[in-house]
Amino acid sequence: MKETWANILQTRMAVYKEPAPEGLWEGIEAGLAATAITASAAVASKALVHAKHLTHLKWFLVAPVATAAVVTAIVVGYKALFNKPMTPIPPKAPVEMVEQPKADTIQQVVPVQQPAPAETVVVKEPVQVQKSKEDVSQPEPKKEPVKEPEVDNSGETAKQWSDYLVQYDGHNVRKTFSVSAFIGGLPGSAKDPLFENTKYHHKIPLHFGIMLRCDFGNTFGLSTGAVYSILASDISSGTSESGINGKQRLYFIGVPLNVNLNIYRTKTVLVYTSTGVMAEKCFDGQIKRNILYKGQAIGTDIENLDVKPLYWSVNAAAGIRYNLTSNFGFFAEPGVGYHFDNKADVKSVYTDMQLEFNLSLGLVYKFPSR
Amino acid sequence: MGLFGNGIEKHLVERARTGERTAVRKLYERYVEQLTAVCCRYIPDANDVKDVLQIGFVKIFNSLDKFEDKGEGSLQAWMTRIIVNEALKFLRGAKKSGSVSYMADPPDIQEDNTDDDDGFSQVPREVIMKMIRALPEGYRTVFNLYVFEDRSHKEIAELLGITENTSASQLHRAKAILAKQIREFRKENKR
Repeated sequence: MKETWANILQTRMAVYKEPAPEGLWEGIEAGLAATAITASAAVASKALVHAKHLTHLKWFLVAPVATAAVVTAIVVGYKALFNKPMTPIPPKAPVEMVEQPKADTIQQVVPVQQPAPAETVVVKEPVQVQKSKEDVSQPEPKKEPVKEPEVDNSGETAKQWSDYLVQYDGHNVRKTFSVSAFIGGLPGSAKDPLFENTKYHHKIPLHFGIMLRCDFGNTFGLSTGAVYSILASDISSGTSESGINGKQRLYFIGVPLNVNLNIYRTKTVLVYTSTGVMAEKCFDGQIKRNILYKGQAIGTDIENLDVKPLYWSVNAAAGIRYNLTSNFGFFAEPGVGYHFDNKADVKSVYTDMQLEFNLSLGLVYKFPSR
Repeated sequence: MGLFGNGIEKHLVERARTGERTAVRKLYERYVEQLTAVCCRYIPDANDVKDVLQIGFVKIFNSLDKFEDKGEGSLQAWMTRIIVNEALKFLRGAKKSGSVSYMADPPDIQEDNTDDDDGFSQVPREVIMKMIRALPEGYRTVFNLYVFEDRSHKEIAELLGITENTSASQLHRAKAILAKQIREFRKENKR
């Protein structure tokens, strides 16, 4: 039978607390991760190898299909919307380019609005006119066939830069395929809200893409494709004595849809802007943690990440393309993107540094115009 | 029950069983200070306390499937048992290395009659804790097991590999040391 004094003491000390030793939680985290490894390392690593290949394969099949669907939608939409203006233009068609003799080298581009037939869409057409203020609305202006600025090379030396400003040409459609590789982003760091002591250092995101661009006339184009992205981050928690360090990698496949506006064009150079949206799916991701205990790495833990929500972003870029031949060239596209918060639990540069500056470099192949 | 009701505690345990780290962290935060106090009663060195707690908590969170909820307080009791077992394991290891001894024939100490003494209730808990931690290793372990874990001398003897008589004798002397210290403390604080 326990004595009275022992019961009194037990009761008195039942609510007594001592502060937790510093670094205890980090040590426990490391210990939990280490025991998880011993329990599941063999099975997990086998499953990981198989699952990873299958997942990547699946997404590489899905991405081109999605891209093809978007391209088809664009083409069908284009035909539906622009079919009538694309039909051959009658001799008295209101849309035409008027090029005046180059007697006066100072030229300006002014819109000319012609009376339109009942079934024709009214468009503003830039023309080059002499500075003599010739009345462009006179009934019988001097007419010449439609010309593209880049085709005419003979008088290039005599032209001003403004001659190469891109002019709208509603019935001349170029289709251009481009293959591009992107690199961009800024490194940064942030704290994980779930594990307050886990620090993330995000590396520059890498993007690789294949883009299909369809130009509708000289000015306007749409582009879409498939973009493969890798987001890597260094993670660390605890101390170098007792804690965790490692890497997180997320793999994305994205489908962008961009509107391109050509600003300036010569035979060799094209300057344009690009704005659009992109939806990205994280199809694979892992965190690899090295468990440190008493300063020694005692094991490695690989956790697969499953991110359900899509990532959406809006993007804008200014690009310059240099044509090496009539069909082949390269381009540079500095740009900026804003990534919307998709409320995913997994942290990345997309969630922590939503504004991304990037520079895209790539090669472009232009299919011959029909 | 502290900040959480028993229902929330059950919910936390269920989530922690699936490996959800936030739930594990919350359970840790809920009990770490009580369990640190338990561990400190057995082990005086701060670094050793941390090591034992770390091993104990890892065992707790890896064994949550084995925990049977028997009502309010059962989770804390179960966790305390694991921490005490780890502390004893540590002390057994220390005993093998020669740093802990359970003296079969402890030195004679003048005893006080403290059976119904309420002196403990007039001494701050921190001071009592300090006194317990200052007990000789062997005395302290027996004292803790008997007073706080409700172990009988027979169980203590089996756990520590000593005889029942040694256990009883060490408890008796631990109590005598504490009574003396409490008396001195009260005398000093009356001045």
